[in-house]
Amino acid sequence: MSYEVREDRYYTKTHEWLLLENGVGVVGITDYAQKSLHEIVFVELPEEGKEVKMGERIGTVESIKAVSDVYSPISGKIVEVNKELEEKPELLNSSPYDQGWMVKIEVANKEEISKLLKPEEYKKLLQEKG
Amino acid sequence: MYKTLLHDWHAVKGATFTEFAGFHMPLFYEGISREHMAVRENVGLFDVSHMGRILVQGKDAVHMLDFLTVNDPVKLKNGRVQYTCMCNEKGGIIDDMTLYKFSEEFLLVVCNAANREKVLKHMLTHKEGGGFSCTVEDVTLRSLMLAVQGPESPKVVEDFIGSEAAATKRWRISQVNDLILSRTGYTGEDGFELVLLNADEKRATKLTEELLSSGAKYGLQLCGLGARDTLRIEAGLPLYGNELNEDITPYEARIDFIVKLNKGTDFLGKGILAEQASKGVSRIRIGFVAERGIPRKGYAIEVNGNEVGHVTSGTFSPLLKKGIGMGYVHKEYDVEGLEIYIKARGRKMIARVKMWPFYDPAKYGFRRGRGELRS
Repeated sequence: MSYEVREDRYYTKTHEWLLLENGVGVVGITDYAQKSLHEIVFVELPEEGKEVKMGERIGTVESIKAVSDVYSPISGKIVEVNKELEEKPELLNSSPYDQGWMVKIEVANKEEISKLLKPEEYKKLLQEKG
Repeated sequence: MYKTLLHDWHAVKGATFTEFAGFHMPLFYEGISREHMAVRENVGLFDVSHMGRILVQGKDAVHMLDFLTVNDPVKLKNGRVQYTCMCNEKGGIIDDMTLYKFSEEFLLVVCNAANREKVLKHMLTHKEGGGFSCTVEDVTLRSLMLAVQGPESPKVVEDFIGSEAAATKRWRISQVNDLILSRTGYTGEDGFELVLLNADEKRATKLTEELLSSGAKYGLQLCGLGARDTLRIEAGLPLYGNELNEDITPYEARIDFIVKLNKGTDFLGKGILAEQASKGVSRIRIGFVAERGIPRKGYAIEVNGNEVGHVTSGTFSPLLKKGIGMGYVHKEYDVEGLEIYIKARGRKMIARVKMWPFYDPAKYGFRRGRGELRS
């Protein structure tokens, strides 16, 4: 199976992505993550205003058979969550990099970005998974 | 790992596989929701060859099974199927199963895949111990078992094998050459199970492919074990290893309609079961629907801040678009509509106790449109 990896953003080993837009990080799960879960039927999102640390659990994505945690790729304050996902969790399958974004985080420490995977590195990680 | 005769055919059909009870089985082909809805609204086809199939033949065949099971296979007419279970001395369930009675001396036991060896051993032990004159033969790996389930299943089966389909009423069996047809299933819908006792890969594949083609005009959908599980949970049907085990009795599991205390003979577990029938049980299986979120096996059930039980099965219902589940609690919490909490990974979801089936039985399930009450 092939997986889309966008060139404009950063990735984590746990299959989240981070896209920077004027100091705000938009976060979601990758094409690989959604394809591994199959039909996503439920999404739990954090509350707006919550301060989170890099690697902290910020939500849960569930398919009929599986439960998967979503971890924050960066530290900061959650300034917006994608409430549309509560009604339409299937957006995570149909549009993981656009309409399926999960939260927006006001980035607290830009230096953390260097710890994230660049698109090439994430592609390599997926190749190793086969 | 075990494979059914159709394993390679499933791969060609694009199945995503899972391991279940030691078998490499299709989890789904196109998606669990789609396959689930096909069965509720039209018709689906499952390979259920992983189920244990054990032939019991000989002079004492029915009498041995009468001693080992709680239902009454002696009273069962030839050509019928009976849902039953085997219990231990404490009334705990060794396995639940269906018995196909062809005659007093020829019966087929269809048991859970995970319990096949245990059931076989249990039967052999009591065959020797009780001096029953019969043979017990596990034919699972050389036979085929398919399930055709859903409101359109009679049309699919009739087109495929002829008028015997309509004549085979619920809980009955018929035979067309060496194909056994049983009007049973595990989805809550009307349906059939088809068994070929002696098959090989070539014949199994050919028959299944022909059935699938023949049913295409009715929308016959190939379905995996994922949909089988969501369908049986929606119908409130227990699964061994989840709702049933050796410490749970048929009364606690609410399948006591199969216990025939007044049948002529003594049977394993009768003492405790008779006591539970008269005194009642304190622990009982309940169903519930979550307001938001998906209950999962192992999550705690809370009432007023106290842990009162655990979820034994939970899933997202593709029909209701809600989380549903089952579990065991003290009978005082078995109150329709009671608000309970399901504790999941650091959060709590609200749920309400609801008697299965979780779907509207006037619109879905084998009693649809009949306006009958559930038994």
